[in-house]
This record gives sequence, C-alpha cells and structure tokens, in this order.
Amino acid sequence: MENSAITVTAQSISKSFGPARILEGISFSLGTGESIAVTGPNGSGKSTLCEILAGIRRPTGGSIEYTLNRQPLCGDGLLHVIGIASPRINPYEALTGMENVEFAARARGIDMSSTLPLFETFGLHRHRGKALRHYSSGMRQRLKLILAVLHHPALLILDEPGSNLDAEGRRQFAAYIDSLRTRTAIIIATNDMEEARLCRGAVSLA
Amino acid sequence: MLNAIISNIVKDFRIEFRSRFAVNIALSFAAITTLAISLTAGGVRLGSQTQAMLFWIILFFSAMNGLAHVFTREEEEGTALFLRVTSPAAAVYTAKLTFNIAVIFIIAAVISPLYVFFLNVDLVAPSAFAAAVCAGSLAIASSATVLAAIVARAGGRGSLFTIISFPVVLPPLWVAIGATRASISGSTSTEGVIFLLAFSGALVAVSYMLFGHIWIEE
Repeated sequence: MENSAITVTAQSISKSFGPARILEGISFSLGTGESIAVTGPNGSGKSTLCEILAGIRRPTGGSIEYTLNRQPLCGDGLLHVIGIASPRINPYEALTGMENVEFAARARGIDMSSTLPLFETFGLHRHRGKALRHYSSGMRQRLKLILAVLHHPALLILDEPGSNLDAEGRRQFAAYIDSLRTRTAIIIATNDMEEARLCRGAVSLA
Repeated sequence: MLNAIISNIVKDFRIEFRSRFAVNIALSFAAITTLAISLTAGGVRLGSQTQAMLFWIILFFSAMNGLAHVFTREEEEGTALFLRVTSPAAAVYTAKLTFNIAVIFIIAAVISPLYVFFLNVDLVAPSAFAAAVCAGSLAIASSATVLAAIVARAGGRGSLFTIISFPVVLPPLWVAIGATRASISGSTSTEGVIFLLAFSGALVAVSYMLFGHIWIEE
C-alpha cells in the first residue's frame, strides 16, 4: 500500500443516536500527502466521526467516497487501506503484544518480519512478549499505534494518539508521522494543540 | 480471506486455551448434571425416550454458555472494534462458527461416554447414536453462533442468550432427541440426521449472508 494514492470525500455526514444529533453536515476531502486535525470539545463527535471514516460505523446521513489509485473503494477493501487507533479499539488482554500484532498481520496477509521494526520505532521491543494485561496505559497506546500502521495504510486515522504517552513516546510518534506524511493521508482527532499542529488542515466540530 | 479466517481461529483457540472458560464451565456443568441424574435414578434403567431427552438437555444447557461466550467476550472486553478493523465480517463469522463447532464436539465427546456409563444406556446402534450426536451438535452450534452475535451486539449476557436461542434450537433439538432415541432402540434410520444436516446448512448459509448487517455498528 505504500505507493497507493487515496482520496476521501465526505459529504454532509450526519450521525444521530436516538434523539441526540452528534454530527451535522460534516464535509471535507483529503488525499495522499494531506493531513487534517479534527478538533472539538468532549462529546462533539470526534471519535464517532473517526469510526464512520474507518467504515466501522454507519452514518445516519451523507456519504463518504474513497478512491484508491482512482478506483472506487468500499466494503472489505477498506480494511486493507485504512489504519485506525482509538481509545475504543482495544487489543486482546490475554495475548502478548507480539501475538496481537501477529493476529492483525496474519488477518491482513502481511509478512510478520516487516512488523518487527515497528516495535523498535515505538520503543516497545523489550515488552513485546508480555501479556497485555501487564502493560501500562502508555505501552498499550504504543501498541495501538503499531497495530494502526503495521499494514502501511494509505489512510491513517488516529483518535487521541498521544493520550497516555510520555514525552519520549510523543516525540517518537511525531517523528513517525513526519516520516509517513508524503505517502499517507492522515486524520488526527485531538484536543491537544501540539498534536493538531502535526496536521496541515483542520475540521472543527465545535 | 483465508488468512483472516485462520488468524481468527488461531486467536480464539489461543485465548480459550489460556482462560479455558467455555470448555471448563461446560464440562463441569455436564459432569455434575450427569452424576445428579445418575444418583437420582438410583440404578433404575430409564426408557430410551427419557434417556435421549435427558442427554440432549444436558448437552444443550452445558454448551450454551460456552457458545455465547465467543461473541459476548469480544463485546465485554471491548475487542469487537479491533476485530472489525482487522478482519472481514465473513471471516469473523466463519472463524467463530468453527470455534463453536469444535467446542460443542469436545463437550459431546466427553458427555457421551459419561452418560452411557452412568445411566446404563444400552447402545444397540452406536454408529447411529454417534451420527445423531454429531448432527445435533452441528445444528446447535450453527444456530447458536449467529444468535450469540445478535445477543452480544444487543449488550446481552449468557442467560439472555439461552432464552432467546431456545425457540430456534427447539426444532433441531426435537429431531435430535428422536434420532438419539431411535439409535438407542437399535434403529439405523438416517432421516433425523439428514434433517439436522440440512437445517445446519440452511442456517449457516443465511447467517453468512446476514452477518455483515449484524456486525457493523449503527
């Protein structure tokens, strides 16, 4: 997926949960090499928008069109081109960090050897054999980031990516995002201005 | 797709092997119930209809908690979304169905000899008995897998699952009891077994087509 050009066009996205309308008329477009920070107060729908964009939640109204190398993309095809890390997406507690990565890599048909350097990049190589139940919250977050990027997604969606990371973890994360920037479309949902500054565009849900 | 199915099966068995939740609970329940019935019967040989009925009641209630767990665990531990972003819905369904079939076959393989021994069941047609148990177990696993997904998505627990699944499982359970009674009496008729296999096939086909709608969040 590393040289794939993706475009995402969201038109008038809305989402309601019962009588509560969370999102209303959200429109934007994004392509490879571009990045957007989604900002807004708590409860404004940032996480919901991320899940809709990742194809794991249906919007109430509006549409999202994806193209990969100018070919329309939908359904299970999205799994191979979208990577997402979110507080609601939790790996398996009973498995080790390595086993979680092995599961996700195998499910996506990726060679396991290509995933090993990611443990070094995110500073988790010494802990990859530990069961997740023994991970700290920061280590879990690092693993979530590894799981989001291990298949080199053309569209990377990160919801509160810096949460629970220490200063070193945030630096490693920022450096990694910089290394992806030219070949990936990036969406970061955050209230942290430092993280928002990693992106060049913005969508405000305020 | 095949990679995703294999990956999910390996993951489910690895987690089950570490927690042994589904199989341990089911086997404990089955052993205690079989012993309780055996002690209550007090060595009296029951009729073939009663023997078949009690056998399937034990197998059904032993298996249900474990069969539901394969999906409720994903929702309770918050891993369902992780599964959704890594595997196609069809792969998840196929892997969970395979896991449930394996679980119920293990339970049936343990219960059957225990039951035959403790309740003095005189098996005239053991191969017909084995075929009825296998086909009935397959039908229960096929029904339970998709129902477990619905119950888990609705935020339900195991107890709710047993109640909801009962009307769906009742027809194959009824036929399985009839086929088991016939095998205990010495009949080698395959009608019941064929019905159970056809029921399983139809249910799996419909579940496979509908699973995507159950699996994606509204």
